[in-house]
Amino acid sequence: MAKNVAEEVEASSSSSPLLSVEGASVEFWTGSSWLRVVDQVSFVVPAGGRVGIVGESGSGKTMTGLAILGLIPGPAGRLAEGSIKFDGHDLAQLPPAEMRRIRGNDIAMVFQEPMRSLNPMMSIGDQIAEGMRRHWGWSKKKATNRAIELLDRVEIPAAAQRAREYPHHLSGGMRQRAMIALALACDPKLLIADEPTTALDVTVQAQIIELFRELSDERDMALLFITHDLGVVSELCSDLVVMYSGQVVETGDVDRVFDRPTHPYTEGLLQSLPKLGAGNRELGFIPGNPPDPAALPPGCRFQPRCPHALPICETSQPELLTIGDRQSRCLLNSELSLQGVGS
Amino acid sequence: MTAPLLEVDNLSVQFVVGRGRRKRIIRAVQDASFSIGHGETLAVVGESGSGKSTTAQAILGLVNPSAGSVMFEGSDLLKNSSREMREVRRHLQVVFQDPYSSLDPMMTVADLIAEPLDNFEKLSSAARSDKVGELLELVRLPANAATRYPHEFSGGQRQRIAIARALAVNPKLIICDEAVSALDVSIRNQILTLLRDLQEQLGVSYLFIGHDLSMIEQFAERVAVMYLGRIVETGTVEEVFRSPRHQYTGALLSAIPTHHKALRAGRIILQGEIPDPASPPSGCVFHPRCPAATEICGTTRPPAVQTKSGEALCHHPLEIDSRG
Amino acid sequence: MTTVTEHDAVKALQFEPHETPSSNRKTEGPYRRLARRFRSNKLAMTALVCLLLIVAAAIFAPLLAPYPPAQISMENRLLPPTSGHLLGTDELGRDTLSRLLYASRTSLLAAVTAVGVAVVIGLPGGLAAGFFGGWPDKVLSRIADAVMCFPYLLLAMAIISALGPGLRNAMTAIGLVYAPRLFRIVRAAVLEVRHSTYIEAARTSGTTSIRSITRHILPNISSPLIVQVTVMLSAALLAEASLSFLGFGVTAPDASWGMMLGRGFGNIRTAPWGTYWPGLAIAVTTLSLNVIGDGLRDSLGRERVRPPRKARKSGGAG
Repeated sequence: MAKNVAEEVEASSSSSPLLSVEGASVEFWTGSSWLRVVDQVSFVVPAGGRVGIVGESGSGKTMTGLAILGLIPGPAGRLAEGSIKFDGHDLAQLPPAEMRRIRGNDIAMVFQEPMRSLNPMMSIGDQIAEGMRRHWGWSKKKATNRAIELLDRVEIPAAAQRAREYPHHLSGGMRQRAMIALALACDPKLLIADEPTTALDVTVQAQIIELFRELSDERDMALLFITHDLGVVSELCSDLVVMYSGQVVETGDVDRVFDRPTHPYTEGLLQSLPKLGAGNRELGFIPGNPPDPAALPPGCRFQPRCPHALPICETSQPELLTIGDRQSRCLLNSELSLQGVGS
Repeated sequence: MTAPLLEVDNLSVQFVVGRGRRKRIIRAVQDASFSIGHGETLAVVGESGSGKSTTAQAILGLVNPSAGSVMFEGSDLLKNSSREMREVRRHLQVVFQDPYSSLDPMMTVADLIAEPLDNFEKLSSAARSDKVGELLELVRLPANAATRYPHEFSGGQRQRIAIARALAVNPKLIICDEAVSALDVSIRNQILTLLRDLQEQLGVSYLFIGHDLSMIEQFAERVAVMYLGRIVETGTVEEVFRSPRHQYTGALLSAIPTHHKALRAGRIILQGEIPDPASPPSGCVFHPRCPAATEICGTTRPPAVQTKSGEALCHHPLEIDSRG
Repeated sequence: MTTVTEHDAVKALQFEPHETPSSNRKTEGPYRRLARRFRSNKLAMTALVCLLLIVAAAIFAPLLAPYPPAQISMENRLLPPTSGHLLGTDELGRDTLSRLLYASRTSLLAAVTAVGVAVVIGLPGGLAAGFFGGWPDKVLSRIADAVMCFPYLLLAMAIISALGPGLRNAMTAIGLVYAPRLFRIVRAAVLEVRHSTYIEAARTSGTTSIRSITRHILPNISSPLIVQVTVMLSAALLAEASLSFLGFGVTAPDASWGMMLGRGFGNIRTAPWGTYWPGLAIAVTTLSLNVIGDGLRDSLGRERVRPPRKARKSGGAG
């Protein structure tokens, strides 16, 4: 089982987490000013741990993932502030050459649409082998053999054959597996996955989730799983980071957050989950839409949609408070008793 | 017992791809039969290659079926000329999956919503304006949306615009082709709730096509599960969800990611991938991936096992009440 | 590492800062957006002003011209620019400035006529071929390909020989030669939008094919179309100049810039200024049209923003 944050912290007070994001903010130039799309986000990923970042469109979750890898599309985008400590180094301060060494080698990323990330002009095997040849200086033969091993591990049948094929020959599920094999090529310590299963069929999604679980266990590889699907996060991750409108609004152990959320948005998301019970016709939803980053409400960003909001929520902006091993960004934190979903 | 609004009988749709020796026949839909009553919602659920979207296209007259009939309000749509089909379209509307490409970016919301009106009725400018206002109110959008352009709205709001357009000429049946699949979860349920309310208000029926079983339970009354072009199970939502009979339905239900540890424990993870529709497996199309498959499954087409509210085509149907 | 690069990251991105959707922002329809972006392009705006001045000069030629353009004055032949004749005179003593002004009418009108003919033939053809496909497309495309095989000036001259002399025929010929090009461009633009979901949605809303073409296709191809028409105007202008220079276009006593250039060419040793002015007029007008076309093209593409060059923390891909 993956370690969760609390256990990790207890187990080794001297060792720091593998990834520690502190106060990271991402901004985009709109032509007249800087627009902040990720606002002072902080969270940790312990070595070998599995953390899920949950949010909907506009929450800034994808940007956060890209920021860690230094892939914010420039020059219009920038990491305005904050630190991203990985294995002792602050990635935000690293020179480009150093960053290139880490990318693909220590930290790998898997995207939602593998067709866009795989080079259509190279065979699968060659693409996977390239990383090993580049980062580790391996010979083509050695690297290709390992590539076939990896394809086999991600359960692509007839791996040796497939290694010679091109991305467009593979089905969606296969491509995503190839993408994962590619990410694993240089044995990364951290794998960032951005909505890797969203575009897949439900039965294939179940297979891929199982694969992620196995890989993370057997390689002691940390996983940062970015998604909008709380159900998937509950299956795979031990810790949860909920983002809304560019901010972290809640963090904590998955089971505990599900059982008793401390932020109304989390509560709303949980209530929107399918209620797989006989004859239940209730459809939970959150009214309204996420705010325009260029026209944020003066107080709490969730307030316009919050069923528990009080007048103070319209004027004061809540801070992210730490309570034990959980965090929450709600002014009415202590007064609310929010409804979770059982397990 | 009034006749159903829509009755699809043994519908088959084939596509021919390639030429000469490389010609392949893709049987996108095979012998599909189902019906929808007035004011009712039928969900057709399947993964890629299941033929669910093709079925909708066949009903709408966007593709030509190779066999079968589609009775809508008593007359066979497939026998219609294109002019007759156009008339039918007043009563048979669609909401598409992608809210970003289904609205013409160069038209205002008012023009978009009023397009069916312009096609079928001659309204004065004032009447048209009023009707647009009414429709916007029905879908709970602000009145000032009428003069704006689609790009100013979010995905959920765009779907509301699409729904308003679909409602413009008072259709009897609306086909929701993955209409909420591209939306965020919290918005998705907003739209489903809206659709449900509209059904109560206006008595419109829905043919709801989707791949995500998890939202069907709250939304539809009946469900048809499709796999590789065939309907493998039908029934009421209550029955199918509580007591799936077809092995594929069972696997589909158990694959839904969930925090319920008890449900996870009984999960069936299917091996392999969905086969190529151009060369479907013999016998039962599901047998290569079926955990309960035996020899007969590979040679003989499965029989229809009757359930309380529908049927399942399976040699080895699941036990009743297997999901409790 | 090829897997994770900035290129992939941009592709994985569906977020565009300007496209943040919301119902709170000011209404900006697609045409207004185009106008706004074009207005901010200084070079394009300069070219537009320049073109408008030229057009104004053409319209108000009778008021601006100091002399009647056809007034012959044998004692004032081939004068250099003087106070009496700001741009000099031609070989028949006619005031160059006045002729230039009147010639602008001819040349501009000629270009517009040519492009008009091209549009009248090419636009419906391209719409039909792109929208309906099948046989209409095959037949029309082959015709277009066949016509485009011929070098355009030769083809124009051949058509002129058939139709007879005169500027109107000459420009019709140019229009006919350009029609296949426009056809191709329209067809390509239509194909790009033909299978959009909103076209399918229009069909299910009961919209007929013809109405789909006018209500949906046309507005959505208007952008590339406008750019092409602008560029084509400049090409047509040059084509008219070439034809008239060679003697195939305008006939005396009318003048066009090309014809003036041709005549001036004959006296290039003794009075080179006879070629400067029409040459300059042609060059400036075509340049303006081209710059406007470029500006339009830029305004229609993705909005690219560069932040100010202040010191900024890392962010771009290393």
